[in-house]
Amino acid sequence: MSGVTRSSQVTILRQDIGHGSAPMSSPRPGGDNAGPAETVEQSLYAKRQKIFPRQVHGMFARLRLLGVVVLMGIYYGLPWVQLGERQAVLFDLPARKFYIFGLVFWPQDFIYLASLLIIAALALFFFTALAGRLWCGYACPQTVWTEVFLWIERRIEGDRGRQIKLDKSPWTARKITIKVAKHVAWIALSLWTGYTFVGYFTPIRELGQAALSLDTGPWETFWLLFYGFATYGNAGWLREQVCIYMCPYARFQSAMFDNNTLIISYDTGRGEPRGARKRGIDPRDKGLGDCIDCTLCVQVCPTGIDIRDGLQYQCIGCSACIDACDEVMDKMGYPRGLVRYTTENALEGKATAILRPRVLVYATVLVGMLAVVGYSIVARVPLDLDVIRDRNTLYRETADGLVENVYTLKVINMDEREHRFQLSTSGLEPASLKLDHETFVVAAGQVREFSARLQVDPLDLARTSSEVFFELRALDEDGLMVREPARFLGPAGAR
Amino acid sequence: MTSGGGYGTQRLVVVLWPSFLVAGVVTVLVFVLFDPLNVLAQTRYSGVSRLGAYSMGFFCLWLVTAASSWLTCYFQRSPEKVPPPAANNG
Repeated sequence: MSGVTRSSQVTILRQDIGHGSAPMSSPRPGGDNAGPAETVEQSLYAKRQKIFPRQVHGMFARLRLLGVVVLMGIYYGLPWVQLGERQAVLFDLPARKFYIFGLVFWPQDFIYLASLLIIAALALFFFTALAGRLWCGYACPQTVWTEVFLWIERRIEGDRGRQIKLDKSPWTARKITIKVAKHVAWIALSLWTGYTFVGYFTPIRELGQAALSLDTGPWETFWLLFYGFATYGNAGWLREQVCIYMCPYARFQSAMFDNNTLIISYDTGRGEPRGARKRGIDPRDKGLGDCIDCTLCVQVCPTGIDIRDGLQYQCIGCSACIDACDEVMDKMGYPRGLVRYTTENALEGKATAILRPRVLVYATVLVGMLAVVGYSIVARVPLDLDVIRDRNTLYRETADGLVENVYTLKVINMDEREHRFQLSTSGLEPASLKLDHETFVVAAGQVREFSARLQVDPLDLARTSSEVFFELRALDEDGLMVREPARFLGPAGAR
Repeated sequence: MTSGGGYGTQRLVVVLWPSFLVAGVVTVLVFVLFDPLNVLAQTRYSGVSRLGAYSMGFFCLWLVTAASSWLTCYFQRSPEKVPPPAANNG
């Protein structure tokens, strides 16, 4: 590739970043434009050249390993943590309750799940604007599981060179043994992953006992195998294709980039012209830059790109090329950082502003959302009251000449302990509330339904439909109360 | 439509993957609003467990979203590329 083509490619890619679209995802208007690019994409999607990422050592590799260990530890370990009698984190779908340590969430608390997703999206915006695809490079499950699968592959098949040689070699008994061993290890881990996944929704210890006697429920079995298969397919086979073709975030992440975003870049000015040279000679004498064209940065790349072609849509920001290049620079006795985290502005010799309005706005909104959601979870009243008016009759008159409405009340005690409650009404005076019991008990995490009759003198009714409030108050805890509006219907023109 | 084997696979993935994502989100929303036990109580599916109802609900929704994705793909072909009626008769 000549120097001219290279620089023009960099320019094109930079423009793409500015417009928030990437070369691979740009829509092709009209059927007539189906040019070579589309052909390439199709052939890539269906069949691709297998990528054998070379193992890399260095600061960022250690950071990524830390990410893998911590996140995998959380994923595989969390369902086994017990809190008292129950699993600490359990998304009990059959019972429609989510347990997260001391908190119990009900379908009524959906707002928290929605807020959590909004916070996650904001955090993604914030970190992307700050330092590019940090999520993709270190924390995304796709990256993390692929790392683990790559590790298994290396342990069984050997390093990159051996893997390539093995794939090219004919199918001997040895090759079959090695390949079978690898897939068995992958499938075992995938099944354990699927089992853990289902363990977040069904108590994992009971599920384990059921699995040992091959007696899991049909849907549990199905989802265990489904998630296991997804893990095996995504981390074993699809790998970088998930990031390039399937990930929605990858398509729009470049819209959050600007000239002050920290991205992994090759310092073209310092590196070019690239070329091989003997150690110890001054490259300037030979008219060379610092890049020795060892292609290690390409060999370590999990998506198979050349970082020296500029920032590309396929780059997941894993920093493997930084580690690889730094190691080479150390060996050559050149300063590190030919490939490094830097900004467009810095590369062009301009000042970089990390704390810019975009980042500050994302940070402010993020912190604000966190504070609001955090406060509302702390201040949450674990009690809910549904008031449903009897639909069959509008109202009826009692023997004493009072107007009576009948309601079905649903009390949901979302707290972790039982409470004794008392019900009253307000907003329509004087009214008398008829219940079977003065006070009643609802056990922890239970729903109790009962009917109530409300009687009002028709002379006190101003309208045919009046608003009335049902107030439910716990007798054993201050502040545990809810107020629910309802309608009271009566005869027209009573007064 | 599938002149090459790879093209057909790609079309399938293009239809199934986005519809899978949307079906997942819609499944959550639907079952937050409706408890399947209440919805199914009056029907002949009253014996279905919640987990079964969630799963089947998801696959029904996936079918619907996939149908929509497939129609998008189908109509994406420009009218000029649709073969003339005579070609079909021959």
